[in-house]
Amino acid sequence: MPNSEQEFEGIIDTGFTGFVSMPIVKAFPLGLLLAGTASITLADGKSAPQLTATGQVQIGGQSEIGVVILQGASADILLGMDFLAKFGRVLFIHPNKGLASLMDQAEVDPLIDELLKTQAEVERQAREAAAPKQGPPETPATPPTPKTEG
Amino acid sequence: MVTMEITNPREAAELGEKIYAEKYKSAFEAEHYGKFVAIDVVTQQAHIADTAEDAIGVARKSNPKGIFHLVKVGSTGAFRVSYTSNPNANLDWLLQ
Repeated sequence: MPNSEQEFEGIIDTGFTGFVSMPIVKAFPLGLLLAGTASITLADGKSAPQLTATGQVQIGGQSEIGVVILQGASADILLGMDFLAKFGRVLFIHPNKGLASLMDQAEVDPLIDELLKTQAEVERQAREAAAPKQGPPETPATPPTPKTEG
Repeated sequence: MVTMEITNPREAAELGEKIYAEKYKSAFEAEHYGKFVAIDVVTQQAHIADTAEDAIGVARKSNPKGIFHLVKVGSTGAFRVSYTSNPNANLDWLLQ
């Protein structure tokens, strides 16, 4: 952060499209530069105006700048999808194995590309199997020649 | 240039929404869908960019002391959030 540095823990909120949302009481000591306001759309579809600031977050050797939403009464720091995108992280969840992992996008992308390629091939084969087979053209049946007696 | 005193965040947000709706919405939704706009609620100027921080950065260069209301073109809010304890907490005291 521009004037001060502090370490925080945050909750990843996959329904939050922004960068960081934090309680204003935690933002004050950091001396964040107030930007203005933004309307936030809540889960129930209602909108609420919130104050915004610009702030810098550092993880390891990487630092990113984004818009920080300053929440009035929340106690939690939320990290949104813009945060994950900027830091190149992918949230991997496997509920049946009880696994939730934050992975590096550079490691995941080749696996995803391979998966998409396989999926495209499976879909192509399914389309081919479902398409009507084209055999040799059928020869028209010769109508029986009427017998004439005379 | 219109000058006015912004006394609370809700007032600034409402003014920003009004300026956007009246001056920019129809044109921007046709041409800049999905981009971010920082509305200077004092000068009524709009600054558009691909990201929220870039829109505010451009706006701040134009008016370093400005108060900016952030809008995402084509969306009801600049951001969506699913988890919050009290989104309607009153912050009006901040700028008074």
